[in-house]
Amino acid sequence: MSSPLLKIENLHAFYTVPLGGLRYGYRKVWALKGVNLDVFPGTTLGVVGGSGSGKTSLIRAILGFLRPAKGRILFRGMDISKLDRRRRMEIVKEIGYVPQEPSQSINPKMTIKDSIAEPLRPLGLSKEDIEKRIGVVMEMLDLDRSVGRMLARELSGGMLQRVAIARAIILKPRLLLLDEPTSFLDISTQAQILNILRDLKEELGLTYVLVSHDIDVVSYISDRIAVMVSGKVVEEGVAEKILREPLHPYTSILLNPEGVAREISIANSETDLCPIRSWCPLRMKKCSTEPPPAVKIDNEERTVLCWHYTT
Amino acid sequence: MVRSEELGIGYEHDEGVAWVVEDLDLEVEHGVVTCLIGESGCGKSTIGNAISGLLPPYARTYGRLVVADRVVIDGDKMNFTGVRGKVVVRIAQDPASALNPYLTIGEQLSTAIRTHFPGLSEHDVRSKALELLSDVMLGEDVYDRYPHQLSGGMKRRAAIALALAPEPEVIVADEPTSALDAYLKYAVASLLKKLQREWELTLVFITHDVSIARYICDQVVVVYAGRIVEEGASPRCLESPSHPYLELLLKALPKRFSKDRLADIPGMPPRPGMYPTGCKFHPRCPYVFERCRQEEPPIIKAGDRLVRCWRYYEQSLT
Ligand SMILES: Nc1ncnc2c1ncn2[C@@H]1O[C@H](COP(=O)(O)OP(=O)(O)OP(=O)(O)O)[C@@H](O)[C@H]1O
Ligand SMILES: Nc1ncnc2c1ncn2[C@@H]1O[C@H](COP(=O)(O)OP(=O)(O)O)[C@@H](O)[C@H]1O
Ligand code: SF4
Ligand SMILES: [Mg+2]
Ligand SMILES: [Mg+2]
Repeated sequence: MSSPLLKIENLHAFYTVPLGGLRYGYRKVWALKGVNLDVFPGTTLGVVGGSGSGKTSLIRAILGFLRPAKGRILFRGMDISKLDRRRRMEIVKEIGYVPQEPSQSINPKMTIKDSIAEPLRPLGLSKEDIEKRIGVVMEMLDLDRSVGRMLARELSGGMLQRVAIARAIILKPRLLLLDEPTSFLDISTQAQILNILRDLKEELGLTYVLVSHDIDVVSYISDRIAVMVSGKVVEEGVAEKILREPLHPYTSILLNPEGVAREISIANSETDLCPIRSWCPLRMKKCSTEPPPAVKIDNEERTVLCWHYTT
Repeated sequence: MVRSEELGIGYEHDEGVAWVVEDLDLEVEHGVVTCLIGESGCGKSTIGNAISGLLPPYARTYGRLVVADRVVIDGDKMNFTGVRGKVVVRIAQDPASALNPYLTIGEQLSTAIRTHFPGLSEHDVRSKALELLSDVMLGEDVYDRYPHQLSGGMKRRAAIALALAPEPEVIVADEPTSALDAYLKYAVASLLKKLQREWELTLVFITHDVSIARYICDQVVVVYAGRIVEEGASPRCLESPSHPYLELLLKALPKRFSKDRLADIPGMPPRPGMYPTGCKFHPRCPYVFERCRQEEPPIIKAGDRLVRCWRYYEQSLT
């Protein structure tokens, strides 16, 4: 097997939040508590999980917006969290990003064409080259030329998302990070975007990390799935297998949420103990005293963070 | 019970009125959960706001709307006195908007109870408030908490408890599960269903989430361009659609074990004031034929449901 394009090892990261007023000092909120992931070239890793589980934080850490407190982020074998600024800029060009809200990447005061071209600016390309690249990506995303002269507010949600994707691929990245690319869209526009993403991947040989809270969206497009709870990946493996036979109890709930009539709590505490231990049907004594181990199953193909599978 | 007769709703702007909903005949029987399904901009909230008496002052109407035996819209006149916020309440999408961040949940519930049931002793007000909390499956400890001390799901429950305080007959829930985690969605939906049964409420549940609709509804009403295009007395039509719009919509949904390409519905829903002639879906419909472009199809009975499409009209004649 080839080596991973992106490898994440024991990644920890936190945010500092003020405790009430500033004079009370600060507190650390751990958003990532030891994430391990491999993403192979040409594949799609779907990351699913509830609100606040750390999906966006994971993406932000890969992009360098959130500093790892511990662990490594290897892109093409290089630890990108430790590179100096210049080298980092060069590498990060190969990583495209579509944020959770299009408004985060598209400046409302710029024309759409300028927004799409913005990432090209530091490269010092000729005017014709820039025009050519813009033309190519706009065509790939089925954006009419006339859209280029418009402003963000004149576009529908689906169009804006296509602009955000055009912007993200204009530097010809190898890896594209997509944070909830369809969660603000209607069913029909969601289908358009998902189809475009599938086609682009084929055409450009891209590798995706796609975050979503919608397991059906993830299953449509992913080769592998990682399930996040409270800053950790509790299950990771081949998409098809996870969908057919979820092992971690949290994955089962994500797949069949209609069975859960009561509100289940996810302990977002600072301990390393299992975050679902208060209601888990498979719970054992150990779950309340020791952090769950990462157990390898299915010929090392699947990882489950759960005591139940150690026996 | 909610019944509309050729109801039209539009919004006034500089150049006139943009009619969003036209000639709507909706019938929701007492004690039933009806889902209004459709994509954004098709007029779901406009219908929901009309039923709950929350249209803005520049809204214009025609036709009639009856809510719990009271005529609330008659032509261009609206009269929701004694109905709005009492007989019919709305649960909005954003629960934070219904809750006051500066008052505890208990204070807010008590105020609402005192307003609707003047003369109750303070002791009774408090026990009624606690009862409401337990109805929405929140613990007594929530009584003394502020909204920011509750999780997203708990906030929605608290907002539901507040909406129930006046003991309404009709509830309009406008996208009450959007932006919630999968399991919270079902928890909120099943709570509404439970309350609807226990209190014998009429529930109008607005959503664009087909799986939630399948889970909760008795009656399905599919809305496109401010019209009912398909209506069925069971969630069955969400399994076997008749109208081309619903058919494509369901084919555009990702299915768990299928990697078949999702259906592309070309174009976008039309904006009010720019509805096409004939069938409002004809510019996007794969089955379009000449008559569709000329004349708007009537809604007709086709098997176990109502459908607004010329294909079914022609079949029904043969
Ligand atoms: N800027 C921030 N400052 C402080 N804490 C933050 C910040 N952003 C995120 N967090 C916290 O980090 C944790 C993970 O948040 P993150 O945004 O990564 O979740 P997510 O999985 O993307 O959730 P969602 O599905 O709601 O987008 C949460 O506990 C959140 O409250
Ligand atoms: N308060 C309002 N003022 C003006 N136009 C409105 C208002 N509310 C909705 N509309 C318009 O009416 C149409 C239907 O919107 P809405 O009823 O909110 O649909 P939905 O809830 O199905 O998304 C949209 O084109 C919207 O822009
Ligand atoms: S009436 Fe014609 S255009 Fe409209 S949905 Fe039916 S077949 Fe399609
Ligand atoms: Mg996020
Ligand atoms: Mg709406």
